[in-house]
Amino acid sequence: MDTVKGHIANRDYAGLVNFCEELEPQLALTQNNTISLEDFYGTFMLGYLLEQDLPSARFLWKRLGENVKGSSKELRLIWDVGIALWQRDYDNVYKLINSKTWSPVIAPLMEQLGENLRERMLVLLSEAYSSITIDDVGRYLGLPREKVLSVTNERGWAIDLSTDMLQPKKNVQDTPQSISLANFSQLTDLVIHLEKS
Amino acid sequence: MPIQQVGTVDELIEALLNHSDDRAEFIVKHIFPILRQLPQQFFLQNTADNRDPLERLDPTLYTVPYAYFLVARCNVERPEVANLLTYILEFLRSFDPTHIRLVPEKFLQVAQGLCRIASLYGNNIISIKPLTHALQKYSPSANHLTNLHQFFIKECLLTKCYRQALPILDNDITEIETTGTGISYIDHLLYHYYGAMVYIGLKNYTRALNFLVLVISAPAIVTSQVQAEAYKKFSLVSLLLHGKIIPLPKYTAPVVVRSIKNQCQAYQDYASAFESLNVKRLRNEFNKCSEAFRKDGNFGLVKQTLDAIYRRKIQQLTQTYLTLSLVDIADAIGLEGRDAPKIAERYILQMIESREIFATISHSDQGGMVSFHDDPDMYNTSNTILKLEEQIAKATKVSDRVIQTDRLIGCSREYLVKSKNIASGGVMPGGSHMDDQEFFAGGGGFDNFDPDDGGRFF
Repeated sequence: MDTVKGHIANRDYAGLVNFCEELEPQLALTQNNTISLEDFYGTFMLGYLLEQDLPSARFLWKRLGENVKGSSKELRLIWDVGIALWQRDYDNVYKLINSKTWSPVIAPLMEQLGENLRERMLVLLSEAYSSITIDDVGRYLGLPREKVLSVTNERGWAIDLSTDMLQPKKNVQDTPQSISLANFSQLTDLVIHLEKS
Repeated sequence: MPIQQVGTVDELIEALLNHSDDRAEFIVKHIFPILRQLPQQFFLQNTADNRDPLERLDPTLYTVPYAYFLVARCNVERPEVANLLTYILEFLRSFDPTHIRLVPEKFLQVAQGLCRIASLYGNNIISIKPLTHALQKYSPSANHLTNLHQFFIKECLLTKCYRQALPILDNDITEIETTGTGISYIDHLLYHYYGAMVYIGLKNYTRALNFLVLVISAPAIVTSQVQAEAYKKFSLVSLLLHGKIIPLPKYTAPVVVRSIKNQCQAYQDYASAFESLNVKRLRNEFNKCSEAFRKDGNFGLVKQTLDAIYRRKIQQLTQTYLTLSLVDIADAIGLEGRDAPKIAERYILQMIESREIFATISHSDQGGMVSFHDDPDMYNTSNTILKLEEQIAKATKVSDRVIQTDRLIGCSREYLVKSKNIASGGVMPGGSHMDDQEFFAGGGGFDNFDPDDGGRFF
């Protein structure tokens, strides 16, 4: 349980998922009193969702025993979030995330999931749109109008209130251009190889 | 000193403990004959003082006899589940790989036993992780195929532990050795077929396609049913990735190509409907064959192609138009209904995110306009160099491997005998004069080297 918490605190979701995969068969084998099955599988599932590995989350849901599925309402609700993500029904994802108070283990993960999705959408929208209605942005971000305006303002999106439109600012990423000695060594390796054959 | 005949479990254990010689030759010469002649019943007995013989044997030192005991016990009608499970898990943790490679079939039986016991215990998942670790230890290198591989992947499929199969699947199989791994021809086919199913499940279609091609193009005198099934999946995955059925490698066995034509007609018709990019025709074909698709277990894949055709059509539009309204796009790709522009917008957004197309949507005009762009990446950054280097390193590795294989074949008895016959008969394709350089230097065989990355790069 402590390891699980450690991974969550460090936001190391890949590590979390790997750890859960190791733990899953052990839990099937012996009782572990430090974590309930409900919390374990909930964390596990959210780990997959945070890693954006939807197929694996789906297979986890499929392999869950009926006893676990039946006994936990929360697990079902977590998977509902997964389904909404799968269907790219982002509006619904936010609604589902906010629809209930999650158990203490799950809550921070859920919050992070919403946060990640919002960030992903902001990047995507700025790439895909030159102008978009405020309402649409609100749906993609799961935020009310005022919040949308403040978030987009921070990122320097222009706003046109007469048409109710936002003009996203393009993200310009500059990738570092680097030529180092390593390039030379790779080049020599290549030449040696070509000479050899 | 050779071991005497043994009659009871106690005698066997005494004999083993007294001869703690762990060289492979010793085991083959002295321990095998004894173990082989003992009936299965023998391994079910307890010692005279009613203790479990496995308690007295160390699985690392006495890997082979330990495996014999385990197999016999797994095969009884009502095994003692909990007890046996602990012993098997202990064995899989600490077996000696060089010893167990002397009896690969026993190792497979232990693994099968574990899965049987796990399901009796009520949870098959128990077996996956121990098997992964055991398999990694058992196979001579990560690139070797063993008799356990296909069984393990199948078990992953059955228990829905797809991702857990990746530590094994992500290594390409380049080494085939029949001694010590107990493999047969069908192992290769099944391993790559099941592997492709895992990748399909996880939506890694590029790798799935590679695996399926490996199955279909395997050398064959008769077509295996596995190859026919692989072709069905291959055609669908190929549609998803490339919008058409990509050509099979030239070295695919002719008999396989022929029987595919006979057995997979429905799939070929479906593919040509897809290639025509006619949504109505595709739907007709879909309705006609959906029963067959369902029976083959390919229904999910087929349904995805129904979705992919829209994306394929949008991609085609980018080659003709610079700007297009959402309404026109919806119309052009064959979407119907009031929500059509909205749906088209969702497809486009999806495709922008997955970098299938480059476009900007603008809602300032009524209804929304889309302008298509060229790939903004000028391929002049260090990212490109990095990618290029990666591919070069890969190519270098493959060509080294090809040269190595080429030399091995060049030295093999079969090859030398054959080339000698041809040379003395005077008929030698490509000239009778054999230059060492030409003969051994390799250089061919690059056909099957396919730099993946969706072909975007080259």
